[in-house]
Amino acid sequence: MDTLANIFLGFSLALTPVNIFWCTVGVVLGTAVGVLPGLGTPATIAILLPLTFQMNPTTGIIMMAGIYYGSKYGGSTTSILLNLPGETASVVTCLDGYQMARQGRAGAALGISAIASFVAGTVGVLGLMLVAPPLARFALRFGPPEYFALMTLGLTMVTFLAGKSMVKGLIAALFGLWLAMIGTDRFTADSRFVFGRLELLDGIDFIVASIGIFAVGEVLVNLEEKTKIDLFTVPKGLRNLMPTWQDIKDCRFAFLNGSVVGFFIGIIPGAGASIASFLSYGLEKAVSKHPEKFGNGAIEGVAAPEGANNSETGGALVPLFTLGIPGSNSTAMLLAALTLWGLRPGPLLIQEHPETFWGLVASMYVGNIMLLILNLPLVPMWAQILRIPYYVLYPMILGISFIGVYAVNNSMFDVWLLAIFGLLGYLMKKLDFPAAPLILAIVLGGRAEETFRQSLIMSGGAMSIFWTRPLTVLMLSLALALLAAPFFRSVRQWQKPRASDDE
Amino acid sequence: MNKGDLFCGLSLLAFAVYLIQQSRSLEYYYEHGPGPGFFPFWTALALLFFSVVLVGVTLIRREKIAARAPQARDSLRALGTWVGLVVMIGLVETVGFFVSFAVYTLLLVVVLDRQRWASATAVAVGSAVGFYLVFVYAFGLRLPAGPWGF
Repeated sequence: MDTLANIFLGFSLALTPVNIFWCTVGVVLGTAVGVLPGLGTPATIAILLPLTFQMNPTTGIIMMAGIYYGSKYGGSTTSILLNLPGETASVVTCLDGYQMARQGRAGAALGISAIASFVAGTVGVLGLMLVAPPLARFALRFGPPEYFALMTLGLTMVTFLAGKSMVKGLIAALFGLWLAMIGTDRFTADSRFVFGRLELLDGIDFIVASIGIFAVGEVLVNLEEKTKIDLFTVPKGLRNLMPTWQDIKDCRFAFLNGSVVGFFIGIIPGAGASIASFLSYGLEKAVSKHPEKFGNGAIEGVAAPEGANNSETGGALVPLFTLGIPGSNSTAMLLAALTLWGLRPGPLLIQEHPETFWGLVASMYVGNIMLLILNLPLVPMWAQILRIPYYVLYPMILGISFIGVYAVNNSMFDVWLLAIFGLLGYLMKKLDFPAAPLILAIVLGGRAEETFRQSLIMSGGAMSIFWTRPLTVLMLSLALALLAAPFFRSVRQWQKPRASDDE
Repeated sequence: MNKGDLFCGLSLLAFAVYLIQQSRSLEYYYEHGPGPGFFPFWTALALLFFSVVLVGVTLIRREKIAARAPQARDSLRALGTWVGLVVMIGLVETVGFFVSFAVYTLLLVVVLDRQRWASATAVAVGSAVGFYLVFVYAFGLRLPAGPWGF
């Protein structure tokens, strides 16, 4: 009954003209930010934060959260059309979304992405509203060993999923782990692998690496492979650009999968949308009747990760509002905003400021509907990007990459790193090394090392801590099974010809 | 045999040996637990192992490379664009982002895509002005400026 009264309170606030206006501004800006590779959500929230000081906190958080979840809708656009993930969570969307675009189904991919985002985004808000407190309590039980196991599972899954060669995937992941170690050690303050450069003491920002590898590297490969032609033909007509009923029917499980996986992963601080999207993609592939289609333009391969990416926002707000723990850069910025408005994020926030929490929850329902309306009819507009000649497009991609990287820290050193990562991305593509394990390893590497070391400190150096906790055992066993799978497959393939020879 | 994989595997092998050497100069274990050298050491060791596997598999398989290899001229286009990017970045602090970017774009479009000077100028100036309006004017970002203030 309380929940019902609270949600009425929330809607009475969210549906005021002022809040509807700022919610619209937030979701439109968020979509634009998501579409533009490199201009990240945390940077945008940071840039716009001073503008919200004059607003009341409810209006301010409605707009800021609009940017946050709006960017998730937009993030898929460049992944599908240009193979440039707007953010790391959209990396997995490239796998099938870009292939669909190459096959002339860019519109269907964008459409299903918007629908999945709406369905899962709404489920995520529902979850935030109804089950936030008990689930947050459950996530609180996670200690360093569980976090380490979760990150190991996420990394292994990516390595298992991306690319043709598991060995190359593992090498890419290990290289990414090394990149994540560059900088100051968080436990002892020793500097590692900084080559005498002060700029490296803070480590390498994953945005720099991902824009370099995906954007610059992709431009270089495209320049080599497609000398005088445009990227691909744009399908004409709105009907061709919309997903069919069959597409939507095919994606029923993907909507559910994305919603549930995204929400639950979102609750775990640090896990984030990247793991959510990769896990839901892996699950979708595992239960699919045609797993061979994944990576070659399977529509479920777009719907599941995009749904998870959006549902994750609802989950990620649970620990932020109930425990005051941000799980990502974006939620960290939201935490900073709440603090600047004089609120104390934590268990008492919902009790002390129900108008802020319930106003936000209600505005997220409104915002998701706005985003669906904004994104579905605008599918043809986004697809028009494909009409642009490549000689116009690639300097723009390089320019936006420069600006996106420079804007992170106002650092020219980062821009030099961008060029280096661009060359690395090009070489990786030429040599068939998958990029996704490397990027995820950069994102998770620091935290993985931290939790591993914390675990060993907890156990006094005993490795048994990893096989005496049920959740850890479960996740590490899954990771081990994934690592062993290609080996057993090879043995079976090797045995088959021998058996036929014997016959 | 795929020469690219072989060369790559050997380079990674050398890199892994370098990392092992570097990580051994860091503290492996300290009073509270694993030190700053612990994780790098095992990561480098795993990298060494998989580099050996890559080299081994490449040598054993001896498979022919698919006839996908692009011509040297195409590779030069890609590498030329990258070198141009490096030169552009080098010039940014002297002439500012917008001028450096516009000149880079102009040359790319004329030299690599053989477009007319008029089209190339339109692309170069149009994108530089567009970036200024969106990022500097609308978003308020500060980008490296030249002596003329932009």
